[in-house]
Amino acid sequence: MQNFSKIKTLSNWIYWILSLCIVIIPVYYLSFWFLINNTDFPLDAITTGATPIEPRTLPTEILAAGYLSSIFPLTVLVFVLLSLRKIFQLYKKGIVFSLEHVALFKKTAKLLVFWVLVSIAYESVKSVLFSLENPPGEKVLSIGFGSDEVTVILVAAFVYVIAWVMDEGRALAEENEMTI
Amino acid sequence: MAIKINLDLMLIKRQMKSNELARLVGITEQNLSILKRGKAKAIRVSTLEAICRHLQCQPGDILEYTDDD
Repeated sequence: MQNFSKIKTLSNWIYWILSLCIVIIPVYYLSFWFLINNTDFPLDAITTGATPIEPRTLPTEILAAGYLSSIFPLTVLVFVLLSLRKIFQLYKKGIVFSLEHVALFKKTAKLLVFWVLVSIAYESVKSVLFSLENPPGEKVLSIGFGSDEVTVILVAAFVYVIAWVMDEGRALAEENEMTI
Repeated sequence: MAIKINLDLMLIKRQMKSNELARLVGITEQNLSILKRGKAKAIRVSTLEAICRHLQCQPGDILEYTDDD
């Protein structure tokens, strides 16, 4: 029972942190493209792949294209966060093992893998956009798959295994519930 | 299901109501209803013992095996 109380309390905190992230992360994505020309942060310090871009401001069309391309990874990430928030909402209510949990864990794992794929595409688009106005021969298309991506895919695999564990737990909980 | 629960019959024989038995055994009326309808996946020995004690019967009076085949 003590654990149950701890689960509820901590889940409540995590629920609100995730809610905050759902608001903050889109703002970050938006501000990245809208403020990129207006901050003290030097544009040439942003590296796309291994090649730094020329120091200059980006034209509006490129900013718009960059913002539009950021919508895809942002949307997937928001869905990941919404899915996680739903899991903790159930924990918050005291529902620990349910079919909904199993479905949500599987959905989160799949979304994480999808997020990695979309993020790779987004980073590639960024590399093209940042170097679009470079002189011929200095334009860059960078496609990266690094340790960050591997980490997220590993986490997705763990989450998928947890979904199976949750399913076993749900079956046990159901059996326990039907034991008189 | 191959195991039939004859709790209703025993309650009639002993002229006892479900809610009274549930109270005496220490389970909820909802759980007793699950048991009576044969929806339970398992019955605890302690629950069976309490039912038998209060209905003054044997486990065999409540549980009946029928061959479905």
